[in-house]
Amino acid sequence: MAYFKDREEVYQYIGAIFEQALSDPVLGPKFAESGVVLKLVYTDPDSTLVVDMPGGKVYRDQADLKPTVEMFMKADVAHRFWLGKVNIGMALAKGDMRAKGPVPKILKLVPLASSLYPRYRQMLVDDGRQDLAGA
Amino acid sequence: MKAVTMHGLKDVRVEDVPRPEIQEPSDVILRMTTAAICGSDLHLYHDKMPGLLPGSVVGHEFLGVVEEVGSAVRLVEAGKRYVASFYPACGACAACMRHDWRNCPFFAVFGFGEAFGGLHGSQAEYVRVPLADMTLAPVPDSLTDEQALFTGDILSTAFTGVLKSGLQAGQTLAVVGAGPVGLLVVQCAQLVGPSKIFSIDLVPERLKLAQSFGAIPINAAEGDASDAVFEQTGFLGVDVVIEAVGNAKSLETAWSVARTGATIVIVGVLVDEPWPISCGDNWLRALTVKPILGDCLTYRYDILKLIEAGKLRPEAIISHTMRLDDATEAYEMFDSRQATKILLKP
Repeated sequence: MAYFKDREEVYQYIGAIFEQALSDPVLGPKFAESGVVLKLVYTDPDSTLVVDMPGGKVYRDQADLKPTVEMFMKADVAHRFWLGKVNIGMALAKGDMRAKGPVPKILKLVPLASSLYPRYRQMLVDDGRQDLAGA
Repeated sequence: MKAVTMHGLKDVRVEDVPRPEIQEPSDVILRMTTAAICGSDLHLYHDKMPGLLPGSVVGHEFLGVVEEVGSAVRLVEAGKRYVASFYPACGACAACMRHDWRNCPFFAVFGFGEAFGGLHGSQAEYVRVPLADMTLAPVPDSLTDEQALFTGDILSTAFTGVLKSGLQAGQTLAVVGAGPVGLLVVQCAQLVGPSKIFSIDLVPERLKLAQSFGAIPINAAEGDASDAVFEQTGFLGVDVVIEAVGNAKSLETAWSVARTGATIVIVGVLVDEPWPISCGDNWLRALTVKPILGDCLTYRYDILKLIEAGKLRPEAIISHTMRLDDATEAYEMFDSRQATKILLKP
């Protein structure tokens, strides 16, 4: 059974952590510097996020932006990533994730993202979602 | 004699040119009985290949009967039928000893211009064949011209591509391009026993042919080919990719369908196309990339045996047989993909 019951939950948590990342006074400018527009296509439940790092915005579903990189994965994989439990390189090699576009641009962002893992878990706990936080 | 000559961008003519003569004792003069237009000839047709002088006789895929034999020729006999390698090599130098034909000091390509040795081409009634004992292979009586012809170029290119890729039984393969070479790659790959072969192209008729050889057709005109490949490989991508087109877009497709750690073999002729991803991205994905030249000199005898055994059916890709006189029209048809493979007969 999938962690998220519907797309709204994906947006509520995964979308929110990206929004926090981009608005963070320290991390936000670093994400913006990357110049990356990241399109994330999730399945189970089907949902899409477009993360405009230079623009500092996160779009739900679609956006009229040409993505630098597109990534495809189950929403479960995204959730486990933000819990710090997914090695992206391994996930790409195993087929748990798929990337279209320059992979190095994404890998460069992983250290930035990793500093947000505790914040993601705390967000879930604060929302009473121990079921997700303990995944 | 009549010959097909190239004069610039899409300017192909059939002209009378002097009949070739023996220049070196190791030469023979071969009366062409069947020649083909190769996909790489289209690079000349599009004026993309440097070093082709206007009026050059083109063509490098041919077969015929030997008419005259030079004094130093020991193996090739007049009156017999032979298929030519698209490039001669001496067979005696240090490079040839290690089957590194491209480094043979006598390496050249028939009908490919001054940058490739300035040899006259084979879309002509007669062809001078240098180093004939090495360049020519006898055609078994059991095989027709149509069956044996491609041994000298596109079939050996496909065969080499599959062998050099290291494709193993059970692995997955994507063949980018269902033109003549791509179709033959599908046939050759079946000898190894991959679990899935994807054939990617834009032309439905070519994809149908690939499907008849056992490939899963993917029409790249209908969507991103990589999506289809990833959906059918458990999100992994394929173990081996063989790129058989030779342009920037097909290189992008080839890289896009490869799994981490895949091998990509390039058999398409390239001129100035850029590398499709960064070197760093290539390293991160641990991709092995092998551009290859078809090794007909090494494999042609094995390939002829496979054709005789019915395990390869190269003649199945032939869509048209035309007169040498109609070469101008033939080039137009091939360039516009109205034809899959065209043979020319005198």
